[in-house]
Amino acid sequence: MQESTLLDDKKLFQAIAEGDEAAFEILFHRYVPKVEPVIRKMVQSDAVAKDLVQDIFLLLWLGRTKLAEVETPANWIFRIVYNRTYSWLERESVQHKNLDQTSIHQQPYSLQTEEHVLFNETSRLVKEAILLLPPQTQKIYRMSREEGLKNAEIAESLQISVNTVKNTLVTAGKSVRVHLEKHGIVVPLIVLTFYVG
Amino acid sequence: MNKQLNDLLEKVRTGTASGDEFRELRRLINDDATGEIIDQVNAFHAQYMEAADYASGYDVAYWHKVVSAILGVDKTGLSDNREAKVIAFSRVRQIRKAMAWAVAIIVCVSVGAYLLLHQRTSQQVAVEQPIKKTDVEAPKVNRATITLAGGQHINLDSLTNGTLVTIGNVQVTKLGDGKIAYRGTSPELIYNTLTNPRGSKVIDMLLADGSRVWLNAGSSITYPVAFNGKERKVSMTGEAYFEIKHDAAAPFKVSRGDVDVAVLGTNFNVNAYANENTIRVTLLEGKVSVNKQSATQTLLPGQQAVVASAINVEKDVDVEAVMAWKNGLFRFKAMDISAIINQLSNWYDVEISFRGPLPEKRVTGYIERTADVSKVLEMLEYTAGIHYTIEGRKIVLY
Repeated sequence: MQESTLLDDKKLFQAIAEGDEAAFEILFHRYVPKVEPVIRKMVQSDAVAKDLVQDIFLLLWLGRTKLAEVETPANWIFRIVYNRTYSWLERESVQHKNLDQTSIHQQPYSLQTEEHVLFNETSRLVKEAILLLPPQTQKIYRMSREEGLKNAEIAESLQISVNTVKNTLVTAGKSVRVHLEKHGIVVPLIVLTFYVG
Repeated sequence: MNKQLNDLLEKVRTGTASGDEFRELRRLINDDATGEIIDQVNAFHAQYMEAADYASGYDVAYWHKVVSAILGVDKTGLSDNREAKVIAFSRVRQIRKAMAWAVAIIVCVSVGAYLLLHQRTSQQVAVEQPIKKTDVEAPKVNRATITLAGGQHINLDSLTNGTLVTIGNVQVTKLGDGKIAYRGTSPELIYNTLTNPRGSKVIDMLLADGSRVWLNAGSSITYPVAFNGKERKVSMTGEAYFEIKHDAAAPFKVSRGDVDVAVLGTNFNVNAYANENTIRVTLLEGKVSVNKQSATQTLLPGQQAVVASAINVEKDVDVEAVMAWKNGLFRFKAMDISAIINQLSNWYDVEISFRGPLPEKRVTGYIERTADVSKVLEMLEYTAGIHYTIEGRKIVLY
C-alpha cells in the first residue's frame, strides 16, 4: 500500500476515534468502492452486498474508540468485511441444507431481509442502550454525541473535570456494546498491531 | 500462500465448506496479528476480480443516505433534555417502589414467622402469599392471522417457520420473528387479509412484488396474493408502514374508506385506526398523493397529510415520532391525551377510560414499547399530572 494513503487513512482513523463525522464520511466513500465489489463477488447479490456494506461500516463506527490504536486501517476494515461476509455465507449454506427442493431457489430473498433487519435492530438497540444510561452519563454522552461539544466544553458546563468526562464517555460506550452483545451483536474491538509492510 | 488457508478459501468459494471450516476461516482472520492472513485473503479474492467488477459506478446519493443512517444510529434524536429526565425519573420511582415492596415482604415474612412459631403444629400454617402487582405487560408475541380468499384462517404464531400455504403459483412463507413473505405470480387477483389484533407485536410482510409492509397492533390489510401487472391495490385499517417497490407500469394504491394514497415511489406511514376520525399519512421518502373523493394533495418527504373532512398538509413533521411504533418505541411529541390513549390501548390491548373531561394537555415522552403499561402511565403522571389505576385489563385515568 502506498505510504501516503496509509498515513491518510491513519489520520482519518484518529479523527474517527474522536467521533469526527466528516472523517468517517471521507473514509466511507473511500473504501466502499474498494470493498463492495469484492463482497458482491462473494455473495453473488447486489442487494445483499449493499446491506453487508452498511452493517460493516456501522460496526466500524460503533467500535470507533479503538481506531486510534490501529496500525493498518485497510486491514482493520477488511477484517470486518471478511468476518461479516463469511458469517453470511455460512448462514446461507446452512439454510440451503435445511430446506426442501421447492424453496431453495427462493432463498436469497429471505436472507436479504434479514440483513436489513439487523441494521434496524442494531439501531433500535443502540438508542435503547443510550436511554437506559444513568442520567448523568446519558447527559454527558448526548452533549458529546448530539450537541457536538468537546470534552473541555462539557467539563466547563457541568463543573466537573475533563477526566471525568472522558471516563464517562468510555463507560457509556461500554454499556452500549454490552447491551448489543446481550442481543447477539458483537462490535469489533480487539486491536492487534498490524504489521506495516 | 498458506495451504490450509487456501483450501478453506477454495471450499467456501465453491460452496463446499462445512460449518467447522467456516468457523476455522473466521478464526484465522480474527486472530491475524500480523496482517499476513488478511493480505493472503485479499490476494485470493483479487485473482477472481476483473476490471468490470469495479466499473459499475458509484451511486453517491444512495451511499450518502447510508452513511447518514449509520451516523444517526447512536443518536437518540431527542431535541429536549427533559425527555431524558423523564426516563430517569421513572426509573428512580421504580426503585422506590421496589424498595417499598421489599419492606412489605419483610414485614409479611416476619409476621408469618411469628405466627409460625406460635402455631400449634397440628394447625394449618398460612404460607406467605406472593404479592401480586396489577400491571399489564407489553405483547411478547405476534398474534396475527391471515384470512384466505375462501374464509379460512391461518394463525401465524401456532405454526412453525416454512411454507404456510400455496395458492396457485404463490407460496406464503413464515420466516421467523414475525415475518411473512408472499412469492410467486398469479394471473387473477386473489385477496388475502392479514389481521394483527390488539396486544400483538408488529408484523412484517413481504408482498409478491417485493414491497414491504409493517402492521401495528389493532390493524389489518387486504391485498392480492400476487399483483397482475396493472394497478397494485391494497386496503387497510389501523396503522402500517410501507416500503413500496418502484414500478412505473403498476402504480401502488393504499386505501382506507374513501381515502386513498397513490404511491409514486417508496416509504410512508399510514395511521388510520377505525376508532379515530382522522387519517394521517406521513411520507418518509419518495412521493405520494393523498386523495379523498375529489380532493387531492401531493406530499414531499417529511410532510404529513391529515385527512378529516378535508386534506391538510403539515410540513416538517417529527418523522421519528410517527415511526416510533415500528422502531419499538413510544415517542410522544406534544401529543394530545386521546391519541396517546389510542396507542396504548391498541398495543397493550387494554380498555382506557378517562374520568371527567379530557384535559387539553399535551405530553412529551419517550419510552420503549417493551415496558409494562405502568411505566408508561408513570411517565404520564410525571409529565402531565395524570393519575391512573389499573385493574386487570381496565385502566382508569383521572
